[in-house]
Amino acid sequence: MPDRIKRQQFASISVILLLVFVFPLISIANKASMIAGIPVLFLYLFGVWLGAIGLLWITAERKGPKNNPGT
Amino acid sequence: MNNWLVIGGSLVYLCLLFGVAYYAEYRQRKNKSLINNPYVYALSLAVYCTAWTYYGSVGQASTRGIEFLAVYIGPTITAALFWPVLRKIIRICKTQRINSLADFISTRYGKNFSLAVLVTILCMIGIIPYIALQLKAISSSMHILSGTTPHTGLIGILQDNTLYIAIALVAFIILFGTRSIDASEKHEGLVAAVAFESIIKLLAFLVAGVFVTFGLFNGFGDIFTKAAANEDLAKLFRFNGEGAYTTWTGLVLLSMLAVVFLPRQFQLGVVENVQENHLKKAIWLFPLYLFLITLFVLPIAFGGKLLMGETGVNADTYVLALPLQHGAGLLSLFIFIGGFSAASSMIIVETIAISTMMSNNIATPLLLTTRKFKTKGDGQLTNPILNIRRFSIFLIIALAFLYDKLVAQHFTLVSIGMVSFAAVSQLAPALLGGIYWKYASQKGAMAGILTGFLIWFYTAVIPSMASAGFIDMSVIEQGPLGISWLRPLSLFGMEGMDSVTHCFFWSMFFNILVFVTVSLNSHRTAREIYQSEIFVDIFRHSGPGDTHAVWKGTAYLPDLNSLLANFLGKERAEKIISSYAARHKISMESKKADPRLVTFSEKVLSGVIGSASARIMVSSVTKEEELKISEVMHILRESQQMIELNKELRRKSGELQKATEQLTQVNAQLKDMDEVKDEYLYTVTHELRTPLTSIRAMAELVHDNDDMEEEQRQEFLSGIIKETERLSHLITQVLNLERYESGRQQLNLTPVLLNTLISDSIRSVTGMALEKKITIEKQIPDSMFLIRCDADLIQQVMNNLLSNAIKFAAEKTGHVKVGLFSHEDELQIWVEDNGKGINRELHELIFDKFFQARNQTLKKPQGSGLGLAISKKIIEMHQGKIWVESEEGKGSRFIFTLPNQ
Amino acid sequence: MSTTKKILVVDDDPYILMSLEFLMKKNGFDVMVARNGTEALEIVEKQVPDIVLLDIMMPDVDGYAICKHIKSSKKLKEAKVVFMSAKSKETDIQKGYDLGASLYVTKPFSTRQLLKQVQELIS
Repeated sequence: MPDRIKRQQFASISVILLLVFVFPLISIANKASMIAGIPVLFLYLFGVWLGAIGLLWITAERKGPKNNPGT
Repeated sequence: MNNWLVIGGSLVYLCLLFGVAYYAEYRQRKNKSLINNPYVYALSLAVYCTAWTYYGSVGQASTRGIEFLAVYIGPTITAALFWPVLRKIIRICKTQRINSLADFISTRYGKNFSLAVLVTILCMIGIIPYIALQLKAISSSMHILSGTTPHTGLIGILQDNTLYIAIALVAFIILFGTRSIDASEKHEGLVAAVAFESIIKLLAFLVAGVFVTFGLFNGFGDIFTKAAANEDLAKLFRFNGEGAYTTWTGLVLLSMLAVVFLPRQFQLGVVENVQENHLKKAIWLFPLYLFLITLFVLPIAFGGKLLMGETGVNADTYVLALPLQHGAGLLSLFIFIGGFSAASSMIIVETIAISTMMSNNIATPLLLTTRKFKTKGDGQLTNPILNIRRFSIFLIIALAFLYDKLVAQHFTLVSIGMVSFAAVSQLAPALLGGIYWKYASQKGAMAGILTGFLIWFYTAVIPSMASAGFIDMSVIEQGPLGISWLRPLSLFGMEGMDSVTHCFFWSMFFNILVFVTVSLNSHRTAREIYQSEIFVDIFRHSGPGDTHAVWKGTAYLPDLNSLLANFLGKERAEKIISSYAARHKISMESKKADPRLVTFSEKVLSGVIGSASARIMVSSVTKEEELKISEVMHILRESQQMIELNKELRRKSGELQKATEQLTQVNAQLKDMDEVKDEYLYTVTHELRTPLTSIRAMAELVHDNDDMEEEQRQEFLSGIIKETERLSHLITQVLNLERYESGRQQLNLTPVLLNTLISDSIRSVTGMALEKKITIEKQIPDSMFLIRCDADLIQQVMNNLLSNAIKFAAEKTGHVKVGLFSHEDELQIWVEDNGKGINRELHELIFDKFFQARNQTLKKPQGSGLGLAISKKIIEMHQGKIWVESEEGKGSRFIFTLPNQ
Repeated sequence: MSTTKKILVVDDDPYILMSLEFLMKKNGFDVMVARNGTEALEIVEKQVPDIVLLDIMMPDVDGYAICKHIKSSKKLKEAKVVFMSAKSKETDIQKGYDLGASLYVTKPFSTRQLLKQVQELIS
């Protein structure tokens, strides 16, 4: 079923997102510095978040790989 | 601002809401549903953002920094699981006609009544305070705008704006939430209104954000830079201490669950879902919405702290207070409306969700047991049940109102919100376990939820009651009866976690532990097993509808009819049963009801009174026989097999069709090839007939004319010989070409000096050239050109091209040139003549054998029938290319290439 | 009015041309030869043959076109056209007769038979 692949894609995305948003990965961005007047942690969180939304959009709207007919 | 302006504004907005809802229902009647739209669906999910988001998160951000964001990240992660998990839940709901959280869990575990009640009570206790805080937010924001102080307590209640807002909301919910007795019908008006409110609150918050960030400051950078100068604020730029990460993670996990298990989220995300496909848009639109609405939280929080931090204004209210302070009156009104939208949409949906649970699982069953009803009624029960629903709505809002007035001042929006999250998350193990683990049992679910609920109560509610002064603080600090490892905030000695994460951890831990242990050790009824099969394997069972009947016994059609009629009215009940029967080709002749009809009626009823009650009702009018587990499994297997078979059939027929198409194609191709072969045979024999004609003619003439002159006879005889040669040459060519084409020709590759080969060819045609007075010129560079090729065959090609050139070059003024050209990794050899050239259209065709297709009567302009075809084959076998450059009247140049390895 | 019949032989194969020229001359015809369609058209401009022996497959103008020309020309249309061709399909033969040919001879032919048929045609 092409559906199975889609489900696995989404499941793996959720795992990736979970890892990206909790300790320890998130501690990388936990610095006291600022870029363009915005604290690094904020940039990391909102930036990665936006990226995640993009990833979700692509996965949701993209057609799955072609498979045998009749399923 | 004038109080009347505020009230007026609110009223206008409420009317707008009613308008939107009415319009949506109107559209639905015209079959142009407004809510059958993925964008509306995604927006409706944004009901997740309440006054907590609008006001509370700003307050939270101003004291705890980025921590507030966790509650929006969690749902984003869950969004990725919408497709695998939520879709399964939606599919189950649709096929089982489930209309609430309680209904879902109860149905999964054998339509168990007590589970339904437990879940309902849990939701009530967990959510009503949350609703109360929304009311509080509305009230405070109104007071901020009008500059008055809010009431506490019940004194002077009639002057309280909140009362009237609450009444208006009750009216709205009753009007648009209880139109139909069948709770699994969509609430078009409601959903449309909620989606509308989502737009308003996003817009308003963005406006507020822009106002603060770009109006009061100079952009994001400005705010944060100024905040960096403030020690307290600068601390908030990062996570501080180990505990911060734990809290963050806990909140993320908690909100991951809440976005599905909050009654309002379940209602809009699952029950009101119109098409599963809408999930695709929601998966990214909903997180995008969350992203946008939280974008300005930090700027507003810091901006507020910077500008008003000393004034003691509650940070929760910065969104409104800042613009108000800086004179933006109308803007503030709009922002207030945004907050109003945020709060009211939450109130509306939660109330509907919980009231459905209350009426289906508690009130209606009570009514049915106490009231003696006759089964011959016609819609007798419709109104009572609807009224129960309406009363529940009223009750919920009333309770929330009371809570707000009497208790809520002790708590913050955010803290109550989080406690609610923790409450509903207790349902997660039972529900998620139920759809993935067949062995999850009713007893296990019951035990798990109960355990989780109790621990939640102990670790979340008790501490908050203590901090509000309802319980003595000693229980918190020293533990009940002084037992320190039972301290509600550090259970079993776990220190260092904030209260919410602590509660979440322990409640989940024991919930899951008990759930799994009890499930593994308990016995399941046949019904439970059946339900578990359907739920876990829903995608295998939701084939051609719910045609499997897991019901054994005797039932009479009239009984079923009147049972349903009680609730739906006679006409509607009959219509619904007969249309089902028609769709599934069930005969309505005999009085006995087909088991499928029984199952269907039960499903319909469960939409009205909940599955537990429906179960009871149906069994009361039918004589049911206890199904053995083996029978249940047998029926399930059968239906599964049918669905599988069906799929196989469809697949096979698809394959068959493809195969047929392919066969037809191949057939056509073969026919084509057949024709081509026939044409070729015809052409070959045709070409052979010409020399045969002249041979025969000449032989006959010599034979018949003894008196022929010697010279003439010699001419004829040598002509016969020549033509015989020509004939045999032709036959050889045909055979050669056949051998090349069938691939039987093997190349004899040797290193060949092209210079010599070309010279040899030229020499062999010199005689012919001299005869026609044609000159041959060699234009070959001095170097040695060595190449691996089959010398014989390439010689043939050269000879062919040269003899063609000579044949077709003009007489006397004819000029043939031969050249060689080295180019990167290949050698190019060309033969040029100044004959009459070849029409562009024929450049490709002359390489065809006999050049049949297009022109049946014109002979090939240049080259013998097969010479060029053979040359082409030979060159291709060497991986080279051959072509002609020519124009009519301007001579021709034949070129071929050989790769230089 | 001379009784010697004029015959035009058109064929791009030199040996066939040579043979037919010899055959017809030997049997009292006034023979004109053309090696291709263009030459044939030139000849019929100047002289009106009684019979035309016409090859079909020729590089420049094919036999069918020449026949059409002859049959549509007022002064030439009395001439009898005999097609000679290796094209032996029913459709080709029918086309020949449709264009007004008096005879269609398939190659290879027998010179003896061809002579007899030609003589029959003009008598």
